[in-house]
Amino acid sequence: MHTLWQDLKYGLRMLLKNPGFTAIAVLTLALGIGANTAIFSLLNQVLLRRLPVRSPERLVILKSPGPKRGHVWSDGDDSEIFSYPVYKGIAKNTSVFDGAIARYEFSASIATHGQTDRGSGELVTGNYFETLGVGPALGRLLTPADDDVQGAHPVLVLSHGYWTQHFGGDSGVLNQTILVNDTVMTIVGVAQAGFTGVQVGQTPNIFVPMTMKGQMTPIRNGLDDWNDHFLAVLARLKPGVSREQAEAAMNVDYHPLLEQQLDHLGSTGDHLHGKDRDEFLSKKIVLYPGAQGRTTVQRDSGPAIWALFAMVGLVLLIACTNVANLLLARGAARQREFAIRSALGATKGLMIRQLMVESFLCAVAGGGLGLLLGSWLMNILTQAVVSEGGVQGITSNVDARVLGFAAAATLASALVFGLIPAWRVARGSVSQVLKDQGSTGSAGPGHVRFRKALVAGQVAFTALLLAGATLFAQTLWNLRKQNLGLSTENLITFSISPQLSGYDAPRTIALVDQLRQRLAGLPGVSGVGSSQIPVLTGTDMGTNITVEGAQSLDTDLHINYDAVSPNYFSTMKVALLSGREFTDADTATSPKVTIINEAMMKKFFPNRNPIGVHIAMGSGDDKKPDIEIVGVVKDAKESHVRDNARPYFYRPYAQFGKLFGMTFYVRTSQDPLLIANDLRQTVGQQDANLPIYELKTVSRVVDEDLFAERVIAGLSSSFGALAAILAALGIYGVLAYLVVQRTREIGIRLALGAASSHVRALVFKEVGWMVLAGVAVGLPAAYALARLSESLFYGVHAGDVTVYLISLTVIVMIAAMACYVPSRRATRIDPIVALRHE
Amino acid sequence: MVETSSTLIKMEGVKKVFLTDEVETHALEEIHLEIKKGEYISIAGPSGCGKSTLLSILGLLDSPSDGNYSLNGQPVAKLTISERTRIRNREIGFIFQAFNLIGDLTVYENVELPLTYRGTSAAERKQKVQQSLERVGMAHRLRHYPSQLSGGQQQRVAVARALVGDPLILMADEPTGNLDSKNGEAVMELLRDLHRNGATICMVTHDQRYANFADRTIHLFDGRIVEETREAEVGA
Repeated sequence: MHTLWQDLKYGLRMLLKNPGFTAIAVLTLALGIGANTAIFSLLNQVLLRRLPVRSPERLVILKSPGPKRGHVWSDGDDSEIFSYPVYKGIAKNTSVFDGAIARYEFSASIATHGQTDRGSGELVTGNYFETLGVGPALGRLLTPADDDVQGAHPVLVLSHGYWTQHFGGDSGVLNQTILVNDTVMTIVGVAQAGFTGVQVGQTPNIFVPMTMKGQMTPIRNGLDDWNDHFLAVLARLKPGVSREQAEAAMNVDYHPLLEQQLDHLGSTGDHLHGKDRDEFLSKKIVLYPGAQGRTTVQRDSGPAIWALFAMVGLVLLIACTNVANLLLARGAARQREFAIRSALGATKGLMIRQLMVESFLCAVAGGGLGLLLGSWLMNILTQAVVSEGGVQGITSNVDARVLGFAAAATLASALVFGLIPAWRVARGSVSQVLKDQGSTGSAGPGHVRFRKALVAGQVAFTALLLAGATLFAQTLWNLRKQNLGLSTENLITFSISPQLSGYDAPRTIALVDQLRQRLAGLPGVSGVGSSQIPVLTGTDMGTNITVEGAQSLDTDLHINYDAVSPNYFSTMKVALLSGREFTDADTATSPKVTIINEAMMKKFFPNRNPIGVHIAMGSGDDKKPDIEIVGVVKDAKESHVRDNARPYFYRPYAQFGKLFGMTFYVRTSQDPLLIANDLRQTVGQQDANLPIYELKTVSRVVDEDLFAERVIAGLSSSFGALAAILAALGIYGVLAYLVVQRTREIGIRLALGAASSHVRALVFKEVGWMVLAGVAVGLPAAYALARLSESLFYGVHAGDVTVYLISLTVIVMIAAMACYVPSRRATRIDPIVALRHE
Repeated sequence: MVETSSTLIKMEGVKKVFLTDEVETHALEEIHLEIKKGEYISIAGPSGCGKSTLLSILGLLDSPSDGNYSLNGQPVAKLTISERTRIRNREIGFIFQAFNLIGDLTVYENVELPLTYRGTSAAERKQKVQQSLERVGMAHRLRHYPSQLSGGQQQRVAVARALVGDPLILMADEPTGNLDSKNGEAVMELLRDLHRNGATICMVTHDQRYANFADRTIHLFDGRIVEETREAEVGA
């Protein structure tokens, strides 16, 4: 123990004695460990963290893959969504579950302290908190008694975060009333700290009993509708019951529920026959692990986060290789010291231990600084992820797992960069070194070969990272230059949700009409349009359709659509191909009309003019096509920039009936942000209690839609640049060492008449081999990894030669730069001095 | 002069061949050598005759290519690396021409090093280091670093380090080679005092004046022992 203490003392002294080496090594490690810690923190919060509930490993997510009929409201995976009557049927099974819960996220207009804010709420079943095992921080939580009769219990529970942020953690909030979506609700409690619901990325402000759905989403209640699918269902397995056993038990009960669904479907005129009916009734319940809650964000962002984690891991490996190379150079200079120690009786183990202690000290300093750096990086990343990525609840807090990861990365780094140099130094020949009277030993050819191999490894990893960065940057570039089908120039948008402020359908339509007129009258405004679905926000609305004169009805055909205003297309600059745009004459009482996009025209009317043809929304025997196609517009990106053109149709909002919200688009002749306040004031003049939200330019909307691509391209490019700098340092270090070692040889060559170019060629040859070996391994590895990640790319593929040429060019450039100083030094060697050189 | 008694070192037919780039260099040939406890011998010869190679083998820093070598009655040819390290630490004290002190350790820490590797307790280490430095007259420089000392002082510290573990034999490789004559003489006097107090010393030197300090001188030439002289003969 005492000798270990001496090793520590000596190690610290050595690090302080060589501040240059220590600073470079610590900083290099800090960059590697910091970047890893930041990405791991994100990965941990999004992909690894379990719900802060009792025994999360016993939670399961219910899915029912297969066809769905009726209305489906999902966030990407329709199989996870159930109707309320079906949920209630499922929840009756208490033989395998200790409870099944259902939840639905909704937009909440929350009026407190005389101010109305837009927030998010979660409609939950009465057993939600009890089944999850979540306790109250204050008051009580919701119980089954709060959820027994529709509309009877206007009570809510605040999330801990919302309570502290909006009520200052005041315990006096209990039994206070607040206005939520125009309904007076009583606060009965606050949920425990840290609990933010069952879905990563969503942080509901309030939890409301499910039976209050009619009040929270007045446009659509759906609680009694067997075919209105909007609920995510999770359950807690009884102790000792496996997922397989629970599935088997559940599916016995599920079939009768499906039959009841079909019966109710038939009562709406939608009859399923033959194969379609069999397929519907053959659906099963499948249980998935639910310890992490719903995995929507994980599903969408998992591959990108893992790709970033792999890249940042490579950066750490490159950093470790660099430090190992520095240690090898220092080890060569310390050969005499270790020969003396060996002569005095130090075993190889003791010497390796001493060197490893130095490495660990270095790594601990790097890890500490890395943690600070990682925390700072995470802070930036978190802000972007929350504000632009729309993923709520991600924080830059360093928890025990992140600390553990940083410690493990530090320990692993020390082993990776310290062990081989220590072993090589400790195995040096004692008598040979001690015979040498010089103050430092000179390393043998094996030592130099090893250092060159390390640099070749660095080049290989750098090639890998650069190719990855190029692929992601190219992807972003391709998406950026995508033709959106609309113009984002000088276009600003905002949204309102009148129904949450008590507006019924006719009042909503009247409000939107009036707002359009007021906005069009603002100075500098050249066009105003509105749509129910905000463009490029990943929101979709779809329906089955019936097309007049179609040879056969495709009952599975699901087409997305939107409700838009007059002048919507001209404002958005979506080109009209034929027919006309909606006008103010298209009212609730005028003939029903629609405009379709080019993709829909190609799909349904490949050989005929669609203008004048009728369609119907929905399918079934009693559907009569009564909506006339009056125009065809060019395809525009609706949901995401990444999406390919797909059939889409538009209806005038005046003919739509129930509008659950409206997004306005205002085209200006100048910087659109200049009129942002005017827009707020205009809405405020119309209704002071109507909050507006998502006020931003459409360019920003595009940026937000490309958030994941921007993050991954930005971070991978940064990692690539960092790797290139570290590789350049590695190449420089080895070349500088080689030039010193070959000074005498170079002196002899110069004395014999070698020109500067010959000497320079000598140095470049050294680097040439290292680069060649590195890219020979790195680029094929990059190709193989790119093949595995092709789903992340857009408009570029793994086999794109340009990507690898760019990587190769960057590597050759950094190698040439790293070569410059050593080769210049080599050409300036004075033969007379060199020949005296020892 | 202390009376010599049992054999400490015995070499029979020791050879050392270096192989570099397919060229064989015979550094030592048929070395037969016996050193008794308490004896002070010097190995002399011109540069390149194999003196340092012989001392490296004697000090277990290197291995012979052929022949037998016993240290204190124990054959050392087949010892493992760790066994050789242990013997070096406990039974041999080294004094080098270039002092070979570790520049980043203080005088105290340099002298303490062999005891640290031996696992000696801190209190005992402190006592022995103090005693050893007092023997060479360097106890007042405990906290100094080697760079703060003169060459003669550095070599005294090196001698203290060699003595601190009470080794069976001191191996000195040209101990005066890097010193001026005054400091050289002082170091040689120090070694003579140690010998008078019972130390066994084996010293390599190419300087006949210093070789004369020993009881016996082995003369090497081209890797072979060509002559052996004793103090009395030298004196005559």
